[in-house]
Amino acid sequence: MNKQNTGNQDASKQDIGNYAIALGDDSLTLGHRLSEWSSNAPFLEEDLALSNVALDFIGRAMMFYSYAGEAEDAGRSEDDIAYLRDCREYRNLLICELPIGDFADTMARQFLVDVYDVGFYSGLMKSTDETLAAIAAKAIKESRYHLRRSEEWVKRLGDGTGESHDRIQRAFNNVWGYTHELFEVDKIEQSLINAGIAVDRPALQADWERYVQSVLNEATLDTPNGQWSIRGGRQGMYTEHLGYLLAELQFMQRAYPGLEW
Amino acid sequence: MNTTPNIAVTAGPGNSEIERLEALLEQVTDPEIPILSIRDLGILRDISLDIDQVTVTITTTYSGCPAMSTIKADIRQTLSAAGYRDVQVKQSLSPAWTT
Repeated sequence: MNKQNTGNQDASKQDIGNYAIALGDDSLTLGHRLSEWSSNAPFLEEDLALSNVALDFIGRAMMFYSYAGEAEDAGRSEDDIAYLRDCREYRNLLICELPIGDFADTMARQFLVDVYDVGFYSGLMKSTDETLAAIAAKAIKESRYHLRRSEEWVKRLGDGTGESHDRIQRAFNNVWGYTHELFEVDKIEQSLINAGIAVDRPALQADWERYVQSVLNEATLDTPNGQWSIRGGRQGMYTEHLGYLLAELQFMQRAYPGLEW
Repeated sequence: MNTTPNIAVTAGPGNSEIERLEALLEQVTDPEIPILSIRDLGILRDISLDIDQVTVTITTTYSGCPAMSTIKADIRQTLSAAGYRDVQVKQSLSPAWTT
């Protein structure tokens, strides 16, 4: 069922597995953060919406981790990969693990990630790896919907009251430094790109900037231009926030190893 | 919505058996909208029979659909109640589900 059509002898199954795990990590950390709004959202409809978006991301993580488990063929299930790795082994982009903050923080981060995801999954649909392409074909439909939502919120909050404007502007200023690594790749990822398996993330940057800027303009917001930036997610670096996220996520599996229904 | 879904049917002896399986799986419904069967929803993708092993292939609607394990269990239960002991339920990713 899940064929691995690598398209290049140099791309080892372990590399593909690690690539899938990193994408799963992006999805799971962000999905977990979004789930923190369940029962805490500003109003009911948004509670449902954010919970559904969270499910989309968690579902993606399952698909990526399942595939990684098969690719590496070391006997790890999707649950092993999700729950039995610590901070240093998580390879998510740092923007995904940031706390939800207030509603403006959440929507600013979500918008920036959604624009990126639409570009990214459009590219991944063309992967020479059939399973990654199939996961992307499912994900792109959801990401287009996520983007409609987050874009609308950015405009409403930006071009809203004085307070909403200030909060969302501050939110963008705070999160901007995490966006640079979205478009940076290391040698291994570059070799997967050359093999047609991975997405050329640097090539996504121009369109991303253009789209984000046009929405910020419409929302009467300034595009942040701070020099400060932080990177290293794909190398296993992590912020001070990830430990708390994993502690919550992994408590059950760590406290009761091998638990089953 | 798929009103005439293209379920791949493995050709060969036992086609009436496949029809029987289809009819049985018509009883497996969406846990939240029991009027819709998994075939109506386009979740059911393929039924194949290899001597006495039945393989049912399904696909998720959206990535994080929490009903999938319930649906898988319902498929197994329905078929086992009808006498099929060896039932495999597989999940396929493509073509991507659509309404």
